[in-house]
Amino acid sequence: MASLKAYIITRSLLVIPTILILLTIVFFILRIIPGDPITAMVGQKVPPEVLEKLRHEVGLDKPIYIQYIDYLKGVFTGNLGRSMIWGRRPVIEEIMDHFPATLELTIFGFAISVLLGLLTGAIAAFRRGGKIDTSMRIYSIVAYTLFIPWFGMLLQMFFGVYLKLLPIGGRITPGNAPQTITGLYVIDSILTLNFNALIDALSHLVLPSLTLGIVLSGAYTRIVRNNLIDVLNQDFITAYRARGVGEWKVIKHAMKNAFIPVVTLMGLQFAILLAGAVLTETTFSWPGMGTFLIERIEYRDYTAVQGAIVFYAVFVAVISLIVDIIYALLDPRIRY
Amino acid sequence: MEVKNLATTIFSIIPKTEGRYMVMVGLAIVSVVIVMAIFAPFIAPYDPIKSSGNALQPPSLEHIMGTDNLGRDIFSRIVYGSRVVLSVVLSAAFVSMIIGVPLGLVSGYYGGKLDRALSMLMDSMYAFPGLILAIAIAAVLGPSVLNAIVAISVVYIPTYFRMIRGQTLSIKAQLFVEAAKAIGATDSRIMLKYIFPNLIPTLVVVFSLSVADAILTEAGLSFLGFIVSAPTPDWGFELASGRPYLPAGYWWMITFPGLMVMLLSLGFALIGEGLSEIYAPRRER
Repeated sequence: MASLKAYIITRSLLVIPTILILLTIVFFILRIIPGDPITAMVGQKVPPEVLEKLRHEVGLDKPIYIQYIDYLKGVFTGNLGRSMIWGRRPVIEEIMDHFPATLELTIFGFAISVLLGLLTGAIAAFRRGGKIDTSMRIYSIVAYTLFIPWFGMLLQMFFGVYLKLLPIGGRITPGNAPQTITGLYVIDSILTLNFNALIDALSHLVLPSLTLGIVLSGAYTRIVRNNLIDVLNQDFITAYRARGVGEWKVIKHAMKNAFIPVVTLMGLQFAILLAGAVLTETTFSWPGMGTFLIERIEYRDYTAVQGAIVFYAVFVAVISLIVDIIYALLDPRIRY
Repeated sequence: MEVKNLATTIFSIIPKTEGRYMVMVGLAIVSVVIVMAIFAPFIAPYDPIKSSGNALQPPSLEHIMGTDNLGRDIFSRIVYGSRVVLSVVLSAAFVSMIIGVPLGLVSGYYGGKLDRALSMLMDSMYAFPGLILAIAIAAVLGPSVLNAIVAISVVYIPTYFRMIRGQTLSIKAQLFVEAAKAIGATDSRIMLKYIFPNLIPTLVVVFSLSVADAILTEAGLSFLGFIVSAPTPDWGFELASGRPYLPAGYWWMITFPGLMVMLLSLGFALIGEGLSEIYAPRRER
C-alpha cells in the first residue's frame, strides 16, 4: 500500500510517540530534577502552609506516577491548569493570547530567511568559484553567528533611534490594534479593511522579522547553492541547454529540482526559528510566547511555565509532521 | 624561533585548500579570546566591577570602548567576561561529549532495541529548540554558572550522539572491523581501538561547530538573566544591561559585547567549517 494516503496516515500516527517522548522529557526536567519545583521557584520566603497548599494544588504531593498520568491527561484534554498569578486565568487561554504574536513573527521571519537564502544561494551557484561565491559563503557563516539581541539592537539603533524610521519595540501602537479574528494583526487588519492598523502592524514587524530572517538565512544560502550546483551539473540541464532552452527556463527547472533539500532544511530550522523567536521577542518587547515564558519564569508562575514548554513541544511535533507531509507531496519516492 | 617553527609545521600539515584559511582565521580569533581570558588581570586596564570614570562616556583614549551606566570600563568588562563565556561553553561541551560520544558509539555498534530507544529519545530532544530547553532547565535549577553548564550540556548531548552513531554505523561495516572480529577481538576492543580513532576527525568538527552554537546559547541565556547577576561581567548579560540606554543613543554599551559574541562564535564556526572542508573537500565544480 505504497500510496501517499498510507504515508500520511502512518506519519500522523508516529507523531503520538514523538509527542509522548517530548512530554516525558519536559515532565522529567520540571519534576524529577532534585528538589521540588515549587520550592525552587517560589523560594524559601513563603510560609510552609502556603507552600503546601500550592504543592497540593499543582498535584506535587501525589506519587510521581500519578502526577505523570494527570499531567498527560491534562495535556491531551487541553487543560494546562491555572496560572499562579494575576487573576489566575487558565494557562491555555493565556497561551492563546500570546501565540498569534509568535506565529506572526515566525511566519515573516521564516519567509524572509527563505527568500534571502534562495536569492543569495542562487547568485552564489550561478557565479560559482568567483568572488561573489566566496562572499556569499562568508555571508552564510557570519549570518549564522550573529547574536540575535545584538543584531536586533543594532537595527533598532540605526532604523529606530538614528533614522527614526521604524518603531523599536512592541507589536502595534497602543490602542491601534485591529479587531481580533485570527490574532494575527496583519491578517486581521486586512480582513477588517483597517489599513491604518495594517501599516502600523507591518512597520512594527519589519525590524524583528528582518533580525530573525537574516540570522536564519545563512543555512539556506549554503544548501541552495550546493544543491543548485549539483542540479546544474546533471544531464537533463545539459540536455535543456543543448536543445536551446532559454537560460531563465533552465534556472526555473534547476530551482524546482534543488528545492526538495530546502524543504528538509525548513523542518530542521524550525527549532532554531522558535529559539531565535524567544530572543527576538525579548529584544523587541514583542508580546509572544517567548516573552510570556521569560516573564512567567521571573514571576515564578510554575503552571504557566510548564504550560508554555508543553505547548512548544506539541507545536514542534506538529510542525515536523507537516514538513514531512509536504516533503512526501514534493518527492514521490518518499513512501512507507 | 621555536614557536615560529612550530607554527610553520602546523601550517604545512594542513592541506592547501580553502578550508585551511578558514581554520587559520578561526584559530587566531579563538586564541586571542583564550589569551584574554587567561591573562585578564594583565590585559584589562581597569577593575571590571568598579567605576573608573564618568558614566556613559563614549569610546576615548582612556576608555577604548567607553564606559557603562555605572562608569565602569567596558573593555575591562569584556576582557573579564570572556572568562565566563569560555568556561561555561567549554565545560558544557566537555560534559556533552563525555555522555554523547560513548552512548552514540555503543548505540551504533550494537544496534537493536537499545539503539532504537536511544535514537528516538535523542531525536526528540534534538527536535526541541535548544535555547528553550536550556531555559527550562535553567529556570528549574535557578540562575548560576554551574546550572548554566548543566543546561547547555543537556542541549548538545544529542548533537554528539547523532553524529557519532551515524559514523559508527558506517565504520563498523568496513573490512578492517570485520577482520578484527575474525581474529577474535572483543567488542570493547573493536570500539576503542578500531572504531574510536576513526571518529576523531568527525568529533573535532562536531565539537567546533557545536561550541560555535553553544556560545550563542550561552549568550542568550546570559542575556535573559539565567547565568550571572550584577556586577559579574558576561557578554550576553552586558547586552541586557545596555538595552535600556539604547533609545538615548548610547551605542557603545551594546555594540562591543555583542561583537565579541559574534567573533568568538565565528572563530569556532570557521575552525569547524574549514576542517570539514579539509576532510571532505568540495568537488571541483
